[in-house]
Amino acid sequence: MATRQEMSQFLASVERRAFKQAVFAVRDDDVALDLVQDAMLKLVEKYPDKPAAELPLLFQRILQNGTTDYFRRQKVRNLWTTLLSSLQGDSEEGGDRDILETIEPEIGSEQAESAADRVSREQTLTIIDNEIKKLPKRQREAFLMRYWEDMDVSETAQAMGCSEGSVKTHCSRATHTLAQALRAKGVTL
Amino acid sequence: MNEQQFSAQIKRALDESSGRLPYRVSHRLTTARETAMTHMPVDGHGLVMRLAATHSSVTAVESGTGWRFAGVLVPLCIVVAGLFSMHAWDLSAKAEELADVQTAMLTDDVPIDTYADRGFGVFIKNTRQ
Repeated sequence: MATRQEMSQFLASVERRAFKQAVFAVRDDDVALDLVQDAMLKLVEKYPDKPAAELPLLFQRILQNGTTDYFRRQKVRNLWTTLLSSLQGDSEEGGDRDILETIEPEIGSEQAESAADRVSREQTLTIIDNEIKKLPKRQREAFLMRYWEDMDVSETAQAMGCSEGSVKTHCSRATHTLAQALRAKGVTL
Repeated sequence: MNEQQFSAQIKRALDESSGRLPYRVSHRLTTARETAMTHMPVDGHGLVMRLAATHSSVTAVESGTGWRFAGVLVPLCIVVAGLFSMHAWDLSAKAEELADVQTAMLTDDVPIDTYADRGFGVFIKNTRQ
């Protein structure tokens, strides 16, 4: 059974990666934050008695289910929005945008890096992020769990609810698609 | 570059990318984690759950079968009890109805035409049995 400290450390270690995974899936920071928060709450409330070793798998499963549920709800909401928007005029977009939200803090370790290098690196990271977002859902999930979360093939298969063979196929296809896309954009790793 | 090397490079890029999250996001993630931790059961409850887990691991096979058995038996008992109570209620309703008819006959409240009705005769005959 995971202690409070183990649970807290696990959540701290996984939160940023979980956020990025959710962003890749839903493409919205706020929704991704909500999904991660819900997943954390569910893990803590429903599985406090699970051993620390089982937490990564459980968390991934909860996060994926949350993402799937979000898309289901979104599908229903979109139907109503489409119906209602035809009856309403154009609404203001970006009215509640906060300029402060666009300001990012300086990271100390990067101060020595030249501005050009930093911009170039930022662009590379953005391209990689975008190309990962473009991957088909199952391929992206398999790729991220396998190579970013360092889960083995059987754990990934368990979390995705598919066979180990499918995981290998998804990972291989994702790698090739990603490599091809990055090569096409002139990105060298 | 093979698949492993490529994935290692991507992992490094993703780690770097997740390390550069805006303050707003990282702050909200921290808050979310802290909020979640406040919902974790306290140690006392954890101890009880741990003891329960230990006990259940000792009798894992027995309890697994027991729960499955209980899962079938309990609903079955509820259904049987429901049927029995419905039957008892039906008997009591019939007895009350018969008592009303007999009271009416004894007090001559039954109209005279009723005795000429064949259905009433069958009813009286059946209830005697």
